[in-house]
Amino acid sequence: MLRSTFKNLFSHPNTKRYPSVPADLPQGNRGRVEWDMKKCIWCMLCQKNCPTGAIKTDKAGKTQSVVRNRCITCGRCVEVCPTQTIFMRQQYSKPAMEPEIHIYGAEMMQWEYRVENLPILNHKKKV
Amino acid sequence: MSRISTIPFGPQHPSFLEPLHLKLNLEEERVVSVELSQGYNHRGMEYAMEKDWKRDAFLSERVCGICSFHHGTTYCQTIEAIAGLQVPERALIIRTIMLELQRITSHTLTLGHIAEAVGYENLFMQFFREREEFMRLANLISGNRVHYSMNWPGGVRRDISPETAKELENKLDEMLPKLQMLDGVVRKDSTWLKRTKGIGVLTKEQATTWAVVGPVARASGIPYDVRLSGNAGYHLEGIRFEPVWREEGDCWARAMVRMDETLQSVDLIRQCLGQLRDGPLVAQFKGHPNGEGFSRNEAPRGELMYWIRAKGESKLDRVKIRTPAFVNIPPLAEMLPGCEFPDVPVIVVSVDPCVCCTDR
Amino acid sequence: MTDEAGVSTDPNVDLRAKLMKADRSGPSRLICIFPLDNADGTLDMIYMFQRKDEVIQYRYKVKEGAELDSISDLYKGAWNMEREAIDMFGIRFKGVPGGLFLMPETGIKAPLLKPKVPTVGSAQDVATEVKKDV
Repeated sequence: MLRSTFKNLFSHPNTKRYPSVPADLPQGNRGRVEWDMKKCIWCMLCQKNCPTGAIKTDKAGKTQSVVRNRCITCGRCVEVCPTQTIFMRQQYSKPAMEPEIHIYGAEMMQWEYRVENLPILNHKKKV
Repeated sequence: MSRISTIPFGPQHPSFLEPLHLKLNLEEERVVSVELSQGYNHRGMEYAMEKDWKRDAFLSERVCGICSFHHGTTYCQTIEAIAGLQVPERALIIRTIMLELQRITSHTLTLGHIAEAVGYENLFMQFFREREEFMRLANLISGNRVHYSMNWPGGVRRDISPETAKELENKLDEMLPKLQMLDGVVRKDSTWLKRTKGIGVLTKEQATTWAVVGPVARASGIPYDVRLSGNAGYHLEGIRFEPVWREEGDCWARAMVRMDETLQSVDLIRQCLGQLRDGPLVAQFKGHPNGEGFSRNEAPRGELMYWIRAKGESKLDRVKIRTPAFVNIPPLAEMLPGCEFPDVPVIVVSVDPCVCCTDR
Repeated sequence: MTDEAGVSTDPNVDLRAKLMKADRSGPSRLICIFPLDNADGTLDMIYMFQRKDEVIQYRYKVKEGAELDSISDLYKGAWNMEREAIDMFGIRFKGVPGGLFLMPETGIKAPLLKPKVPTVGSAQDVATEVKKDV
């Protein structure tokens, strides 16, 4: 034990100075999920199979929206989609000041999304 | 005449990771009696798991954070037992590799935590430094550091490619000498032995009446291991191991059993990698399960059992989870009286209380 | 796994007789004690033991609010499991105070009973809840 203690005095620390140094995320890391809207066929299988109910498909308005706080990056939507519309990135979502909904629309550019916030739910007062 | 003073070892305490309340009655630095109170982490998991059986493959993992893959695997094994599915061999071997990897991370965390309770901070830091390499390995194979999410009733969802298997083997060869160095410290270091030998003794008769499981039972002379009863790939040919057990029953014996099991897990992963053959990953299953069944598995803390009754639709009727920490914490009422006050954190942490599992 | 008891015998008498057999054919280790609730208002009490290499289950049908004998003088580990059953289902055991999940002195009876009307919990309910407010 003493020998390894003296060796540690004169060697580099084991930690990295993140975020000035980029994080070493391996291939296949579960980051966040994105939609390529040109390939979407509106079958709504991703909404039915999401375990937390984070995905909402709007067939009339041609948008897909995902509540980032509820997504647990399990990968069920990626497995279940028949046309490989959904893609899982390596990087994580960035933190935000309020819970966010990311909306992907058919008329936007590839991988682009619009940001909205969760609506404030009115709790009914007990009489 | 000496007086008895009562000290609350409260829910918030620097030496516990999770909330657990002990009321200690002391007579001049010696513990006379103890009262346990738990339930600070109750989330109603058994009721929440009745809503949807497909979502439970992910919800059952989140019952505990340190033995999460064991919970997920036991849930999938129970659904497979109810529906009569036969899991392919490649899926069994992949499940066994990930189970042993989770066991290594859990045991190194517990040993580091005991070192911190004893006051040996250098050993605590060294255990966590070795543990970090295994967390990076888990991130490489499954995509996450803690909740692996690789299980589905019928098999596994992600595969191990040949390059990943090669890297896993190289990393194990690199880490084994470091783990053996730590094993030498836990076995022979004089400070460690003075603080843990002869403290918190649980005899074999007491262990049988209190129905203790896991490393706590194996350190008191009961050589039983659920992995021998045949599940998750441990019964396949070419995978051999013997349960590790000791007879003393004190804190040192419990720490030694965990250290020996860590080295045994490295050997088990190597045996499994030698047995990987090509094949399908998941057995297809249509419809909903119907009937009753149960299944057991060996979590790092002991024997874990799930009992499920399903009624042929997407909701389940009753889910019962019996976790190992639920049975291991009550014998503290027999181990603590008679010891001195500074030994209380060491005994409580050597039993390895996982309060998330106890309270569900 | 074998299922040995008849479903309608009285657990107070039958279980003790099975556990205290003089020859060594009785069970050797307690695994779990838990109740199940049926649709018609009765409860099924299940006692799981292990005997050498196999797991045996004893099942008894009891009414809600019944009072049973405790087996914590034979197996001390049964004390906590019976307290959990009292909290979750409202069944009673002789000599065992309730309250595993709260301090025993609070006096609330069976705080964890399942509510009669099911609460919102599935993923589809959550998805429609967000839709209503938008």
